[in-house]
Amino acid sequence: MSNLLAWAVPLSPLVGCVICALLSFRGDKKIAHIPAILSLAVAAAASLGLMFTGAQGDGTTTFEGYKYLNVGSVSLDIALKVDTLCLTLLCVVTCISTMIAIYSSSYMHGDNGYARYFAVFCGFVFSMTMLVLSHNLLMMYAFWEGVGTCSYLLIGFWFRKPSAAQAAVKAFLVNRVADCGFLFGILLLNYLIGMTPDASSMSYFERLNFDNIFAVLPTIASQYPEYLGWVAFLLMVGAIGKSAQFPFHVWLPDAMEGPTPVSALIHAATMVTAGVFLMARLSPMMEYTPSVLSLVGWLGCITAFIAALMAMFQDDLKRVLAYSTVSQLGYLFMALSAGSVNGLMVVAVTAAMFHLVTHAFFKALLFLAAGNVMHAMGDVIDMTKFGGLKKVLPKTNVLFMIGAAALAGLPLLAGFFSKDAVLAVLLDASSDGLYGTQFKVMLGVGFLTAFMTAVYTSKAYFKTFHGPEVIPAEAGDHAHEATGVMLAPMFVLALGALFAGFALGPTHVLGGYLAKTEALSAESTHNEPLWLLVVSSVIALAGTAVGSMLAKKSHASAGLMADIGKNRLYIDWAYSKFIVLPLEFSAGLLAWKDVHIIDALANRIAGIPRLVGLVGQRYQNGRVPTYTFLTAVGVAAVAIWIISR
Amino acid sequence: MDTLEFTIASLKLMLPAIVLIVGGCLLLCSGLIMKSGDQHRVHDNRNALGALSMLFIALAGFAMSFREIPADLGSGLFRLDESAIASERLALIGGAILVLISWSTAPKRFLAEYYGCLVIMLGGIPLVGAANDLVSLFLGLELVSIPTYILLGIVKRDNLGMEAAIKYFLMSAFSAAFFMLGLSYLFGTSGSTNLQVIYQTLGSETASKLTIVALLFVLCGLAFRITAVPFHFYAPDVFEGTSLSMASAMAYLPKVAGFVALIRLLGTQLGPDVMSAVVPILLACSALTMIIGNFMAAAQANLRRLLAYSSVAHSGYLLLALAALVRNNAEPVVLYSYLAAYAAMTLGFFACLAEIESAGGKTIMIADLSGMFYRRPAASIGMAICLLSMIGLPLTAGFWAKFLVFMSTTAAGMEDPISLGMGILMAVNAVIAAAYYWRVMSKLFESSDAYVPLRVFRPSLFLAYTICVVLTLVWFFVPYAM
Repeated sequence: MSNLLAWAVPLSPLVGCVICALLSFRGDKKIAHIPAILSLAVAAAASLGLMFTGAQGDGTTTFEGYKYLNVGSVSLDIALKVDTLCLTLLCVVTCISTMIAIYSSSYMHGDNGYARYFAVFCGFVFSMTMLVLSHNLLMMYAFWEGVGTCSYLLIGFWFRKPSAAQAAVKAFLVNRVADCGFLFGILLLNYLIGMTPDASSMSYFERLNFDNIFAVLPTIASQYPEYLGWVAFLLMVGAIGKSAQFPFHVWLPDAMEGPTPVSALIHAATMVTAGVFLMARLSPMMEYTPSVLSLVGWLGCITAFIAALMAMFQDDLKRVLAYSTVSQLGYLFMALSAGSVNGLMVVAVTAAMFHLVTHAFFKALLFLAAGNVMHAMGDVIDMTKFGGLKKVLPKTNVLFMIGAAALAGLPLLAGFFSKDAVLAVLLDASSDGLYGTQFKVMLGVGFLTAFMTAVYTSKAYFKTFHGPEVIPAEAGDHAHEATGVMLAPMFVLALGALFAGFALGPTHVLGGYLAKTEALSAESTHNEPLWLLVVSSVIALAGTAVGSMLAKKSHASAGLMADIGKNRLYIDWAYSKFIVLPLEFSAGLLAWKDVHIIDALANRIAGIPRLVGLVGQRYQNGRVPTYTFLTAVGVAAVAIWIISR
Repeated sequence: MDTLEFTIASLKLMLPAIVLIVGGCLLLCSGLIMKSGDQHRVHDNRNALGALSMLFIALAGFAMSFREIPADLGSGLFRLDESAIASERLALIGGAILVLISWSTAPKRFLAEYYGCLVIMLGGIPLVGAANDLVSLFLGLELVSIPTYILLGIVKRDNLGMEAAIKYFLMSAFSAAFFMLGLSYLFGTSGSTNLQVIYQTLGSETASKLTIVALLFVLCGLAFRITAVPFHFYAPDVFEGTSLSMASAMAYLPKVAGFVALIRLLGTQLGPDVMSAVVPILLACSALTMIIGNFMAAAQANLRRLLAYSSVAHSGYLLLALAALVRNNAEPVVLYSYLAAYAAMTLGFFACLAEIESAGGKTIMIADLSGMFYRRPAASIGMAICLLSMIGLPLTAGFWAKFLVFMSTTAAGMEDPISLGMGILMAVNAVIAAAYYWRVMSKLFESSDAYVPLRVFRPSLFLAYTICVVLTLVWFFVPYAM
């Protein structure tokens, strides 16, 4: 039964994907959402079923799939590894994707690529669930690329729009660079495992099973500690690439060119958390390499701060949300890095997963609300062009407010508890001797970023929904509230944004649940001082107040800071000048060489088989005597060789 | 257990082959009672005989699945081990597709003879696969080749067809002479015709030169069946001369028989002397077969000759797998999966060609296929998938086939010069092969002025290549079912 449920989770979206893909050949614009929503609902039900039946047993259960291949040194075993860590993310992915699919059925209504949209959507959920359920690092990598591809296809969904096509390519390329790190990490790890004594009996694929990796970790750590550090570093590069951390954060804001529900699902709630999941999954390895974790912490810290800074100066509502996603992901990595302190790994992972879950709810909600605004405003998303929409979009106003309040960390909402858990972990870690100073800095940045988060969130909210009513010309005179189909899933997400924090955090539900995973079962001491709660409440409220005031000023803080913030701290500019330009130059050089030297040579070589064949045809003259003679000569030659040996 | 019971039990084990051979004989006899006449009756006869052949193949399949194989296989004339069962499977799958291809293309004057010979050929393959004695091995091989002579003679009665039949007959006789000579020497050096005894001779520490020469001659005889260089000369001429359905049978059945026989003979632990002679021969033969097959195919403008050389090249890859099998004493499963993938892609390609031809299109030269996608889309897509499989691209069975051969060839690691060299050679050959397959494929989809849709629909041919294409795609995802 559990086996069936476990396999239903990835396979049901795959079926949906295939059906939608077939429908897209028919150019069907009416019914593609039905198979998609049904298949995703089945997946969501199956993953909830897995969670409530306790399919992971005591710790981890691996569900055998089928032996894809078993020949010699190659053996590919497709199996699913189910534990509480992956079940947590799995439920978030499937439930939120079902909600967003329902929303999309109305949002994408009438689009030419309706069936194509749902096909890729289901394909994404398939890849994502397989990524989460993988029992093997290499298999995880395969689906890691799978989600990357689906993300590429969805960012470039309106591929006739040049900016969308460019954004898709940018996202893909930046991710490729990071994925190279991931791949090299896997290869190096495979090599290291191959050096351990009992590796010879295993195939290359089996070596990379998570169970096996964790089993041989102590050996590797004692024999090749510096190589293990490199492995962890390279894997971390893959993780921060997918999770859009500095210096790879540049792709995520541009990814907002895709349809808004996609931004909500892939670029806010699920795919970008894959990096965090990878780090959490590999936490036993990371425990051996505290320096890498500390580096992750710094990167997360930088990202959280600069992304918040950039978010403050954006006019584009979706981009504000995008930068806020980047910033919140920075929090997750800061939390994870606390694992470098002895004995804090479990708490760190728990806090990161907690913030991940709540963030998925309220950020998806915010994006969908932004989608409603966009829908009503005729695809205008620039906050300078509209305002005071609370009369036009009364329900969206409430929903956006809930999401924004949760993001800003107003007391008793989801974001409040989870952000607090992250800060508490950092506080705990800051008393450590070796890395204490780092975490003190990170705690400070955490507070500062929390303040900035409250500022830009409330600024965006008040600018959009309060003040004098401004409606752009593009909206025409039919600016209207979204349909019920769009609002219903948002209400569900809003419930999550309201109560998920309280339900999961202070009650220790999530912590207790995650502790069932073997790697996270260690006893942990963790305290959340009351003053921390008070301080962060004060910060959130103060930030909200400042933000609401900023929103009223028409030209918010023009000046050097705003200039830098608007230009994204010139990071994109620096990339294009110092990395892309030299690369393009050398690419031009190589292209010239390719055409004039290599191709010329290759064409000559390619002509050889044909020439030789034409010569050979002389001996294929259709006459039996020639044939028998040539055959006899051949046999005689071999016979003479044998006899004269 | 008395003798009668024992005989019946053994007959039960060989039932698939018996069903096919007896069925073939019955089909031959049906020619006596069948009335030929007007067009309508020919149509009925086609359906009746096609259905009957299919029935015999299905019966053989049933006989294959409903039998219990004893633990002790004994060492009599036949030994029903894994090789035997694999060869039965290959014969039945290929046979079913061949019957479908023949359904509407068999020569109408010789329907009974055609199907009779075809089914007997199919029956010969399980015999070769189960043979545990030189006599039964030879018997099985001749059961495959003698019907071939007849078939070549009846399917196409023009000059080219007759030339192909005569040429095949002469070359076959020539190689059978080698084969018999080798067999008699093997018998002479080991003192028995039983393969288990011969295995002991081959596996002994020292072997006389006569044994090795005997083995060489036997290999020569089998090299003819698998169109290995230098016994490949007949292949292009015969493929060009005979009908498409016969060419597809020629590309598949003798090759299966030959390789199964090779596995039978060499599928044992060889002694060092024999090994040091046989492995170089196999490797050299495989290298030459790949190179000549691919280079000659690259120069072809004639589609039939290209297919002939491509089948030669595929034999080269298979020989490579065989050499790896002899060297490392590996499982022969690599060869069987390659043969299965080969069956699906080659027979599928021929079925597509046959459909185009029966609809009135020309398929002699590569240029005849120009723009075929717009004239006959289904068959063109089928051909494209089969070509992708022949190239060995992923998502097709051909990928695993080539990949497995490559892996078994290079199993000794990159430090070993032979495995490195043969690995490189195979990779280079795969690229050359991709070039000329791609040439055919690009012809299919190029825009053409001669836009004349072909509308005649032949369900049997459509079914044949659909099965092949589906198998090609499905086997990629479940390779162990190959």
